[in-house]
Order: sequence, then structure tokens, then C-alpha cells
Amino acid sequence: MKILLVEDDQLMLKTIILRLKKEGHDITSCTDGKEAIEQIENQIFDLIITDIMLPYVSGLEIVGIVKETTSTPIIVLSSMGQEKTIEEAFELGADDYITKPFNLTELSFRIKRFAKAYELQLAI
Amino acid sequence: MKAKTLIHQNDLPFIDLSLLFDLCEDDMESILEMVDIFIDSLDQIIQQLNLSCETKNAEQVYMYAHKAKSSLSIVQIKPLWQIMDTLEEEARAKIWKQHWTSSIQKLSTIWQQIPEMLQQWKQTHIQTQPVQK
Repeated sequence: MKILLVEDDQLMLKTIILRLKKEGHDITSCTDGKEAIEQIENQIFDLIITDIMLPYVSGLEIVGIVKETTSTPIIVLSSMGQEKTIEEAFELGADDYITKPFNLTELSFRIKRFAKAYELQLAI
Repeated sequence: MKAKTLIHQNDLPFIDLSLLFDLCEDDMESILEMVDIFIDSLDQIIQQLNLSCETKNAEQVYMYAHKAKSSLSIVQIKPLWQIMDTLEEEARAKIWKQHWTSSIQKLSTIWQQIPEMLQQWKQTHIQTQPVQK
């Protein structure tokens, strides 16, 4: 899958990239929301994974912008104590969320769910 | 020699790299690269927190404490995590609190010794080795 990953913490970003690349995904990464919006405007992604707290443009704003014009699935990365924000993300159209610190296997399972739906869509 | 995921200080576990090993699936090359990223990243965050302290910017304290927790959830250093967690929680209201100055000073003091500890650990595990947890 072609995945856009938006995360401002370098260590978290690199560990996720490492894992997802091993699983064969094509990853584009950004460390701030502004850059993410530019990527979204210029490319089509099969899945977006975004942190909520980001410099310049928040993860919530990204969800709002993407869902206004596309049905690209979005997984939101949240932290403990951000329950209200998660609710807001779902209201804006987020498809799933995962709370940090998380197990990368859990993230992989969630991605596989979207990959299956994506393959079905391609088959139709 | 087997790689150890715990770094001790005064005979007590201080830096826990076990989650990093799991995330990198014990690939030593990746682990060593991630340790460098962690050092750079945390170093910048601590510098930014010190600047936020000078300008009494509560919003920045919240942002950087939150960001630090993300890295510290992978490279686990309990004393740093605890201070960052308290700072994040208190700074959520975005109102400056005077006692943060001493918290941030304490963070800086603890941090000073960590890059060297991690570099020493790296030197002893510079080649890919099986893991001992």
C-alpha cells in the first residue's frame, strides 16, 4: 500500500517506517502537518497514518481536509489522555486510532484490515 | 558477548531498551541508528524546554514534553518520563508555573549523563549480536 505517515517525533517515525517498509509498504513520511497537506495535494495515498499533535497543521485538521474531498482511510496516532480528541477525529471522519506507546504488530494488523478492503476495491 | 537491553546506574536499571529491541526485531544495525536518533531528538527537546523556560512559554512546554514522551516510550528512562509526564499534564492548561524551572533544570541534569551512557553502550554492542533480555 502507498502510505503517508505523519509523525513529528523522529524516533517514533523511524521505527514505524522501518517496520512498514519490511512489510512491503511504500512509505512517504512528513514531520509536520503543513508538509503533509502538500503531499496530500500532490499524491494519492491508499492510507494515511497521522499523529494528532503536529507543528503548523494538526492531525485533526489533516483528517478534516482529507475527508472533505476523498475517502482515503486514516488511522490517527493518539496518546493516553487524548480521548476527547479521538472522538473529535472520528467526528471528522477518521477510520481508526491507535494509542501510543503501541505495539507495532497491532498497527500492522490494523493496516492489514485496510489493505484487505483496498484489495477488494481493486478487484471490483 | 550478548547485547543487553538494560543499562544500569548504581546497580539499578536506568535505561530500558527492551521495547526498542522489540520494535527493531533485534536488528542491531537499526537499534544503533535509533539510539543516535534518540540522543539527537531528546537533546533538542531538552534545549527547547530550557528556552521555553526562559520565555515562560507554557504552550511550548506542553508541546515539547508531549513530544519527549513519544521518544521516551521507546527508549525508556523512568526519571525523565516521570518529569515529562508531570510537565505535560500541568502545562495542558497553558498557564506558566514557576516550579517548572526547577523541573526543567532537573531534566537537564539527568539528561547530561545519558548520551555518554548510551554511547558507551553502543561501543560495546557495535557488532550485530544475539539478544539477552
